[in-house]
Amino acid sequence: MNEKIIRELQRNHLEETTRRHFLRECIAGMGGLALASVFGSCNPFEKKDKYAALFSSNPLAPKAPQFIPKARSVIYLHMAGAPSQLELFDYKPALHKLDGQDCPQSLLEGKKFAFIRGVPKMLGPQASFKQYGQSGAWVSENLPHFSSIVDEVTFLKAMQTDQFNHGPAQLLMHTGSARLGRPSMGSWVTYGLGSENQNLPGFVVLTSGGTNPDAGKSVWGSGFLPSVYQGVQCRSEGDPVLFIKDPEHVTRDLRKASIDAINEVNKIHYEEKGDPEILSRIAQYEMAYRMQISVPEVMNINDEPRYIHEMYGTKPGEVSLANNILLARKLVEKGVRFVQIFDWGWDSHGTDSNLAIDVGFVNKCRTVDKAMTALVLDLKQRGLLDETLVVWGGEFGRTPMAENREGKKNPFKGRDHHTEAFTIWMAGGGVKKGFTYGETDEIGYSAIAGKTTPFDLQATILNQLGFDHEKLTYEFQGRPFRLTDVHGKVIHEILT
Amino acid sequence: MEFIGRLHPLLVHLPIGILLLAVLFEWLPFRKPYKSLRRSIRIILWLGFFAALSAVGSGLMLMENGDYDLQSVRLHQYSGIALTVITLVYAWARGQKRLKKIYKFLSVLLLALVTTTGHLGGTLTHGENFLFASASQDAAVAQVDLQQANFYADLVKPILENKCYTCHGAGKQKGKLRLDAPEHIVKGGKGGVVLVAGKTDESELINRVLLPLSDDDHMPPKAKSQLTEIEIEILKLWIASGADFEKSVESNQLGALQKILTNKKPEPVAEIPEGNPNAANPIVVNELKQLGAVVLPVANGSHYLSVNLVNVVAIDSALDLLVKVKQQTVWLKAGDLAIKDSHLGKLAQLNQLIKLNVERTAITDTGLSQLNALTQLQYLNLNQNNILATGVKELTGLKNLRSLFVFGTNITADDVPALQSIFPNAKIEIGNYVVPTLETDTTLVK
Repeated sequence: MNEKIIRELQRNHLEETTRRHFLRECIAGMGGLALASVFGSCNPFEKKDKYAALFSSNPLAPKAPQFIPKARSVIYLHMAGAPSQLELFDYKPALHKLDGQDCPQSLLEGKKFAFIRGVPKMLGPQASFKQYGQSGAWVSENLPHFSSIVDEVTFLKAMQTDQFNHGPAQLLMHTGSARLGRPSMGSWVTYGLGSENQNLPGFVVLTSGGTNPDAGKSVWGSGFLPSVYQGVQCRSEGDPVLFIKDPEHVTRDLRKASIDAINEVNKIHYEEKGDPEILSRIAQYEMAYRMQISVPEVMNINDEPRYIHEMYGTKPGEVSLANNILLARKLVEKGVRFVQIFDWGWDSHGTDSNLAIDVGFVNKCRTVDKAMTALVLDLKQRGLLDETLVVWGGEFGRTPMAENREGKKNPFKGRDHHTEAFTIWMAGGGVKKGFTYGETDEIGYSAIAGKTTPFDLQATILNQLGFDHEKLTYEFQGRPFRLTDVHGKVIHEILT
Repeated sequence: MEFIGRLHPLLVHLPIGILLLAVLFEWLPFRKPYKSLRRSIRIILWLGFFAALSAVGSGLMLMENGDYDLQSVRLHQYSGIALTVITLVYAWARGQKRLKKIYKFLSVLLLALVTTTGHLGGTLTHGENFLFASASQDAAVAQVDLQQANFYADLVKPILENKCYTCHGAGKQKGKLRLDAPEHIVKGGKGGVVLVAGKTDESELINRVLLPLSDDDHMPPKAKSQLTEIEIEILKLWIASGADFEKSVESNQLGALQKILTNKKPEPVAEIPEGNPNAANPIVVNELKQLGAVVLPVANGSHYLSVNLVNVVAIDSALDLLVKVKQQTVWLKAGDLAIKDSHLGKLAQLNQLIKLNVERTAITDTGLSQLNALTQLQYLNLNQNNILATGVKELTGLKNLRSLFVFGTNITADDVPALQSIFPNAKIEIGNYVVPTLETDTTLVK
């Protein structure tokens, strides 16, 4: 009986396929083949081969780097909004003398600013500076703790970018493109190295400051890489990772059995379709199951001894940058490759007191100073600083001029977005100690020596992890893509 | 004209392919299934003739305006013309039954000519040593004995040879510049002098190299192999110190050179032994992975292993397996595990270890001395173990130790001098850093 039905079905199908159908399908097929070569990413045949390796194992399985790495992990502290280099590290006494004077035309001609209009006034440094350590690095009074560890740190003082709005600049910093759609640095690293601790994600994101970064979650997105490589956002309050808790009355065994069943079906589906996202989904189910136990454990800072809390200035239970910084240390200790911290609120325009360079900005500094200093020292005593690269910075710098929104004086002291010079510091992971690279002119307007770009920074970070940034590539839309695209040079000057 | 000339490198591949096909068909059809192919040889040869003709034509045009040394081009030119003539003869002969006996001879002659012409042409574009030159770059510089080296001959010349001669040498002189002998370098090229002794920023030789890669004037051209940082620094130093072609490396240059050579080379976290051992037994590696260990080569292509016992519960079995791959295991992370003194005996058999992490375990002072067998060890992390200085002082066998971490143990700053005398080359980290709480930490500015 069954057989009869099947045979009838087959006959019906054959009858439908007329000569015209045949010709049409041939043509469409040829066109499809041609298109497939153009849109490599959409070619199901190619994908199947490329992912065969992933399918047999796990896309997050740990992998060896291209060459012997200096660093095993990265902690990237991004002060979203862009902190003022002129009130932290880039000391410009000459700017004091110009305070309140009209900005010379030569600095404005042909330039575009996000908010400055007409002729703004110059704004002298709003903090006092001193030299610290054997390296004699200048640090402002806003960072009293950090000034004690300048001999562990390399400053990049001539960073430049070409984006003066937060979103694009943050994307450029983390994905190598000011436009959406490219994988973030952490995704590239996880793609290249996998996850060392199979019970934890390889790439964790922690946010504070009340708002996600302006560029949205794309700054830790996986772009065209399989989505299993995207950053996993963890929360320091409540459930560390959303949606992984078992529903009520579902035991862990039952959960395991259902995940196994779902994955079985997904595998069959993958064999039919060859869509790599199905593999991502399988891996994510499995990781989520393992994370149910391990993540709450590692994300719990209650068990840290008191002196650690005193060191970092952490208070368990609240959402704070300090808590996230302590978490970053715990995660790296457990083998997480890339921890991305975003803290919002550094956009010191001077439009209100929270965004004033002498009020809100000072308070922001107080939320990070102790914790980031503790991080470097804690990593150092744990023997982790040599193998962990710590990076601290924003997406661009701030102008030596006071902001005059709409051409009018702002109610508070503030500075506009500035692309031509900003400071980033790095520590550990094979960068020099007590070193400064790059220089700005005498008012801190423009980089004049040792210029570096986000691409150079990205190339350097990948280099420390054991990757040639030109060789860590992914085939997409018919060409190999990389984090730095066609740019970037490793900043060898700052490496040990 | 010029455009057609530029097509030459493209067009030459046509006759090569077509004529080789003809030769192949001439020799192939001994057996039946291929016999019919013979009939196509004549038409292939005619095609090949016209292809060769267009290659010769475009080649002649390229010669007119290209920056080639006419001497070296001549051979290639004559051989190409000979090839075309022989093809014509062969194609004509292939139609004459009575000449059947010389088909094979002509085909061999043709093959020889195709090979020769192709090789001569390749030499013109890629340089003389392209085929057999090895890709040694900085390695060559590193082997030079700086004390006795001649600056130009031993340091500068090899760089120019590797990166510049192809286009600025005997075979080809792009921009009328030759860099293959002192007199040519001094003379400069079409744009004038390229070398100003003592002044790097006026020397076009360096300026071109330093231009951004995207600049059309950047040298070497984008697609060619670029100068390394070390090579650039060496050239700079040579020009800055007078660009002399005769002098040996002077004592005042020695320091700068050594700095260039050592500073730019990335050092590994802890040195990996020279060479590469045999690959570890994959079965053992797999079993280790089954136990939850992360086992990876330290880098792609290396057989040395980095092992992390991060999710291992069965410590005994894992250590047993590790002993089987001890020749390869150089880095081991075994922290946060219930490792006891009784495990250390096995751990001590891993005598190739360079880095060892055993922080937060259950080891004590009594067991510690077993680690003395790890003579290669450069990095030892004993953080947060319940140990005393007396235990660590027993580790006199660790002569190569460079980093010792004893934070969170019972060892205090007072113990450090004694430990330092046992491990003179090691940085001893006792930690316990304090970041004091300042009033400003918890108050807000209004």
